[in-house]
Amino acid sequence: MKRLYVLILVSVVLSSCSKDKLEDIKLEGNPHEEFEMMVPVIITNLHSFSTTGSFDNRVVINFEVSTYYLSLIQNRPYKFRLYRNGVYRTDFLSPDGMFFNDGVTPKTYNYTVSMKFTDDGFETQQSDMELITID
Amino acid sequence: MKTRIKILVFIGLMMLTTIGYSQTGTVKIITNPSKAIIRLDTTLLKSNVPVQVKPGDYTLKMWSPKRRFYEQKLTVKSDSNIRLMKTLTFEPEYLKYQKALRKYKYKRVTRKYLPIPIFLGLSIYNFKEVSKYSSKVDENYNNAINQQESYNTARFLESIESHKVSYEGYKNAYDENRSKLNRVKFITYSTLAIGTFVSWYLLRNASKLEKPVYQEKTLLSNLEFNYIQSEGSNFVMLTFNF
Repeated sequence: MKRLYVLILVSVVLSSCSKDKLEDIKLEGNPHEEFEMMVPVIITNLHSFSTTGSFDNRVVINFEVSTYYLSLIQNRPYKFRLYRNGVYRTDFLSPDGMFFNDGVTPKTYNYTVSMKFTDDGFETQQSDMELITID
Repeated sequence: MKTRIKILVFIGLMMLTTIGYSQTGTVKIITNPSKAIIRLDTTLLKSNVPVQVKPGDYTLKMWSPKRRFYEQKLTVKSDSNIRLMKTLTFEPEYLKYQKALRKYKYKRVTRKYLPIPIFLGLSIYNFKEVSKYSSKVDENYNNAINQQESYNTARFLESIESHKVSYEGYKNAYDENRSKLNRVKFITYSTLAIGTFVSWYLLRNASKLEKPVYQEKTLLSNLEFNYIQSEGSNFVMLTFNF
């Protein structure tokens, strides 16, 4: 009787322990952690406005650059490339408060930004796209 | 002359009367407990009530239930005023019985009424802990999975790093809480199992406990007999007071 009781106790205690469900779930590695696949730019702000008496729309775009990426490339010269709907539009030298007259017609557009090195011409992956509707 | 003789005779008579009245002594016994049975030879006395008795040697007996019997010789002289205070101590057997009764009650309470609430309280507390850690484990698991998904789909380097750090944080929290959960579960089920066994054993043990009994002995009676002879009839009546 006592042995049976101890057996039941041990079984209950052992079966009560929860299993490690995360044991087999591990981070397998994001492909964008490879240098060639890195996306160093992210668009942080995008909005448009029009000036009185003008049919042109102005788009303000702000983006930020990965500090980790900047530490990797050290002092290599580069510029930013802006794409609208996947088509190259213009270059910028600074990501701060970028402002330009895009002259678009009312429509929804997507914008992406990449970095291009001026020494060897290598261009990084484009940033995640940001949508904007121009009225 | 005649008047003087009359006065002397009167004084003499007064003195004789006084002498006649003072041929007793007063006895007053004060006992603790006050309801103790007190006998001066065969006379039943009450505590703190003085009685007049004739001079002579008496045996004073005192007793109260559960108390020790007390006896002493008492000599009463004319005009004497005896006042005696006495505390009757408990009988050793009664003290032993009381000790055994306390022990019995203590054992009964600790074996019959204490284990179940204690183990029940502990189990409830532990189940609450299990529930707490269980929800923490689930929460951290879900967060880790979300962070893993976000990490896999992230493209911006800082986001990748941020999701990676968050995933590791949630995973560590998950591991820590899972370990705590397992420990608490082990304690809970062990407590429940051991508690059930111990409670059942003690309960069975408590039912076998024997309550001590005190056999009281009457060492002094408080019966008071009254002898009454009926006038004009041929019978006597013997009555007693309880």
